[in-house]
Amino acid sequence: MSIIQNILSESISYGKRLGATFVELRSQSVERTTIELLDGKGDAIHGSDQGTAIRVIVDGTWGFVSVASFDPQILKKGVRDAYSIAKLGAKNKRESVELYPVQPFSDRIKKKWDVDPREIPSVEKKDRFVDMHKRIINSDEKNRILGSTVAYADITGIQYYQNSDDIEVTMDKCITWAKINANGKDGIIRAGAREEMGSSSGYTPFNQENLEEVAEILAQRIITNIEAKNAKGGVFPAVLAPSVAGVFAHEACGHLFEADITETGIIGTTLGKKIASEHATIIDDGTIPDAIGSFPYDDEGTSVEKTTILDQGRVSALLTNREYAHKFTEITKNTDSDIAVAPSGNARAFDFRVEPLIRMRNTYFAPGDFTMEELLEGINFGYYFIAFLGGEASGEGTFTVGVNEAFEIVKGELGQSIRGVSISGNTMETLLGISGAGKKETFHVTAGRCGKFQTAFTGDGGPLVRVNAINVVGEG
Amino acid sequence: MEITDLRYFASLAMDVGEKQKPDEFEVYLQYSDVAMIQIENGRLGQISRTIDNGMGFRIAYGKQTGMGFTSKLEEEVITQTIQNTAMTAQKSRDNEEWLGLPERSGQPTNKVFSNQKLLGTPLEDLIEISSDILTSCKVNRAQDPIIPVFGGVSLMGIKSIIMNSHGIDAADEVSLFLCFLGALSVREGKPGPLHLDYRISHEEILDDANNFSVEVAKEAYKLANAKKVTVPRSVPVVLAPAALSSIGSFVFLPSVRADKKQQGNSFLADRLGEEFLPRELEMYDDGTRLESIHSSNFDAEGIAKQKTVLFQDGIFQNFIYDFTSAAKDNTLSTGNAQREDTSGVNPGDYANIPSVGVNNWVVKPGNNELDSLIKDIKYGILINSIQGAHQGVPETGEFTGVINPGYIIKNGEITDPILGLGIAGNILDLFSNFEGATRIVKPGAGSLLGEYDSLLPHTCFREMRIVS
Repeated sequence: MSIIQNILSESISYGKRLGATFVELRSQSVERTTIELLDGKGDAIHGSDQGTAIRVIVDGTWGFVSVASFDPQILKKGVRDAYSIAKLGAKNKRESVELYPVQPFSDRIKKKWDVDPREIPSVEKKDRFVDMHKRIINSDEKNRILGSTVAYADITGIQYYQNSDDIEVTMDKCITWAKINANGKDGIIRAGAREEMGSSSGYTPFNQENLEEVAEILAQRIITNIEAKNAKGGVFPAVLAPSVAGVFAHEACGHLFEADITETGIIGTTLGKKIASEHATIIDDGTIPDAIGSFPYDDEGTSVEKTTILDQGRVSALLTNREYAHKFTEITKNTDSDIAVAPSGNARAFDFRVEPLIRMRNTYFAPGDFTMEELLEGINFGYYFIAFLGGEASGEGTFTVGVNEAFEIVKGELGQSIRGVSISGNTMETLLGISGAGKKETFHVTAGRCGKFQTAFTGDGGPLVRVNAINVVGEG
Repeated sequence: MEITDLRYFASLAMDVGEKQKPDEFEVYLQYSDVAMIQIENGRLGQISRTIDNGMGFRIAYGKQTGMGFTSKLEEEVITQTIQNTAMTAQKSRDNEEWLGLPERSGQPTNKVFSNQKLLGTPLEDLIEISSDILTSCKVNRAQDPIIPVFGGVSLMGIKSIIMNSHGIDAADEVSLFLCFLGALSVREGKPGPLHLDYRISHEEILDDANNFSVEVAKEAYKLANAKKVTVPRSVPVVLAPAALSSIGSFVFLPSVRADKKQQGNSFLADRLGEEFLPRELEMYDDGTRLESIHSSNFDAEGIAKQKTVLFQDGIFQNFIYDFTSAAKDNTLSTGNAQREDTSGVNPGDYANIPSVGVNNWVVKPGNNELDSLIKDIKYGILINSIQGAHQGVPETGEFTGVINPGYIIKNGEITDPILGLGIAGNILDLFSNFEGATRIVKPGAGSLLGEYDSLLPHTCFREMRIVS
């Protein structure tokens, strides 16, 4: 056992002696580099970050303390504080927290990253994005591309996790991520484009070739948007490209299957039932190699898995942590629902400052067997949505997704490009209207972030997906 | 940790910094202690206490610059981090944007933003407030239950100190009580739209938790049957503070930032001193308001925060500046340097580089109650909040989004709840249609978006386009 593992172990013993029925400590020591550039100008900032999250259950109530330290005395005080605040809370508690039972185990995940971001000087990382900026703005011979912004982060280090159920996981972690925005102008017409990229296994995606490819995509999208016309608002059939299908899978669907939202949300009354078309299978998967939302264990020490939440239109599983796995086991045990509610490895915390919440990992539509031509067939007038700007959804089942690149579909053929469009609607109605999913050759998962109270790096994706009717917000 | 402790570490870092023989050096140190009682799905959730601290450094050799940070407040780690940052700076290319670190300027308001009595509030009192909120919100309706879906009661104390090689030595302390509650009503088994409300104070805890909670519950109940309806393509609207805040933050406030103007990304770039908005629509940025969240004596570069007039007498009066953008325009900073983690991936203000940001967006209140503001509207919409407002285009002021939720206004009365209507327009066109504002303003709406706060009334506009 390392020194830090011993310190955690002693802190857990101390918490149990105080009377806590559950104690966990999660310590992290990482190096972090972030870069913010505007038009290729700006700075990198590099530093070290370490601290410990302490969670206890006392008399059925959670207590959480976070300290920026590994010091045994500070951790001991943290455990005592967590115990005290949980004890106070228990006086007002009407319902006790219980955790889904687990088997003891110990694991050490050692990783050697293909390219370790700590070995690349910050100056070099920055220079690659400066070159990318030059490539973006020089891509249009009519000089309509004005500028770009870059936000980049890499976080690399080690996490130690132990709890009083004799689970111990020590794992190396590495996340690399970037969001690149570009903008252009032609007369009074403005256009923007965005892409995110990232990985859970090192700096590899940020090689010269990939950055050049993303630069080309952004430049082309701006030109397309400048030359596009305004979209016509109304209800139309549509084909969603993988990134738009992915953001729909995440925002409109996935959140509703997060068990803390399910409890009061619209999916809560549909467990085990068919709510969508047979073409709609949605999976949340923490096991895709290298994807930004992949990791071996979640922040409660649960092994991650591939969770099919919607199986050919039927609600088949929820995304859970140990608390909600127990809760939904109780809720469903006297029903005829066969929905999977065991801990799914979705308890995620951004860092030691925050507690784990139920979060998605890589969420996507499963591929089907349609070709692009078959998906377009029969659409007299509709839209092909290629890239998104962002999405938002509510527990009662409404969603909005901003579209960054789109084309008209006219008589089964792709038509003119359109801009200034978003899609919105009711998730259940939209899911019922899914009438086809593309072959696996069209499948793709992209990197992104989710902002449910704290940031989580997530992947979204799918194949091409056809929807019979979707509400299009446009001005044409 | 007390200010004297922070000063010890900051002075230590200044000494280490000077030994690297830079032309300029800055240290920013922050300590925060946050207690939070969560409300989750009708229950008292987790109780937490988060203590964070760390320091950030900026070092310059001419125009070669380096930035570093550490959350480990240990002499050896601080020294190593500063040495590494200095080495990085000396290896870097010239940073053409670097115009140096600021010197002391402006007089701080010297208001007290930290209340010791508030910070001494026992945790038991915060738990009691959470418990009262829960009890009052869960109105016992067998048919249409109200569910307090999420919320929290939080007390935070934040201390910071900034020193630089030009003589800036500024310390700040801020205390803040914050409570928020999102509730919905379940009607015939279906959840209705969420209604979210909040209270903040630098000085005292919430003394009317029951009323606050009952008001949230009542509104959630009224919204339960919200439906999508067909309305004319253009209607008068009243924007609730949260709705105005979301449009404003995405497509208006970026354009009052001097750095955006300098980048060619502000639609207000050529309009300084020009009269083009109704004279009644006055706006400010004010980092000194006691009732707003982003208030303190100093900004993130140690410059005194101030009140900056944005629009008065219909004239666009000022951009807001940090030190660098001000130096480019040969003017003074307006105290608007912030160290926000805008991407959500770099926690700790100390780990972020300063940039221009709004402190508290203030729209001058009118003389109306909400009733009198809508009394002449024959058919219009009261918009509570807007989904998808982030899809607007800040460079042009074009906004878009979906009303979720709102109410139809008929013959001067608020009637049926609605949702799902698409809206679009240009923010300056909307502001040009300004009809009036309520007497009561609400703080906190901007804080939901993270980067700034606001103090906004309900505002009425003659027309807004409905696009779906």
